[in-house]
Amino acid sequence: MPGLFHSTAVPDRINSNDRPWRNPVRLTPLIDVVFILLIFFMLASNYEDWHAVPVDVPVRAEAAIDSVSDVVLVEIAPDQLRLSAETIPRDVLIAHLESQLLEHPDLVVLIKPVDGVLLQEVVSLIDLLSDSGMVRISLIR
Amino acid sequence: MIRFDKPVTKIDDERVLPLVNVVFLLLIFVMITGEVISPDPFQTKPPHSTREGWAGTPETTVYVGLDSRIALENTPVTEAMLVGLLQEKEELGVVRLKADGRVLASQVVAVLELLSSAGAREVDLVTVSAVSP
Repeated sequence: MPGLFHSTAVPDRINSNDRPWRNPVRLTPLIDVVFILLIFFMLASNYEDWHAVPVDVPVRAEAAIDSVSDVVLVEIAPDQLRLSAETIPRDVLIAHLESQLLEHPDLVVLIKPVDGVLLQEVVSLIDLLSDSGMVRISLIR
Repeated sequence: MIRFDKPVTKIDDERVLPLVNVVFLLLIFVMITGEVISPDPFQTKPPHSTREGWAGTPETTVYVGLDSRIALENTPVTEAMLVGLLQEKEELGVVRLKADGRVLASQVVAVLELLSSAGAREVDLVTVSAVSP
């Protein structure tokens, strides 16, 4: 009876002809560990692309005012910009500052946010000014 | 007589090999693309900006969140504590300021003044890439 030696009670893998001999290392614990590592890295990683806007701290800005005479004060209110206490449209302000920058390369732009202005609006203005070539930008109260 | 194949009931390690491959690839992708960071003391959404560039890695990070919350590294502090703690540092170089884009700008300027009185010589305001229209 040939079936007697190949009973299901005692698997004989080495002698079985349908599959080769396999490494007895199990893969399941490996998968567990790799999954846990994957979850850890997914939770602990940051995918946001951070940038930095360098800002002059107020003391340096004051020193700059003392040493350099070319200072422009731009006030930013929730829905308007003011230059020398006069409301001015955004594109006119940029054109004005660009012409000032040509005459005075050391132009310092001070941004004074009025109460109620969010940081996002100030950063958008800084973006606009830097795109026009203004380098020395500072915030004051 | 119709013969059906026996249903495969045995869980075989070899059959999960593709899964292992995919998970390994995902793991490697996440490890390479992501940057492991320490969690912030509170949630902040930095303002959007078109400016590119990242100036080094400052040693000190100050957080300004909604509700006028301020934190130095991972510890929430008051304004008075912030100046004291910053002055204890020997060399206060570039300070990274991670402020929420929805806080009042005047609050951020107030923190900037505190930083300058504590001896910071340069402040980097953290922004994120502008949302594409």
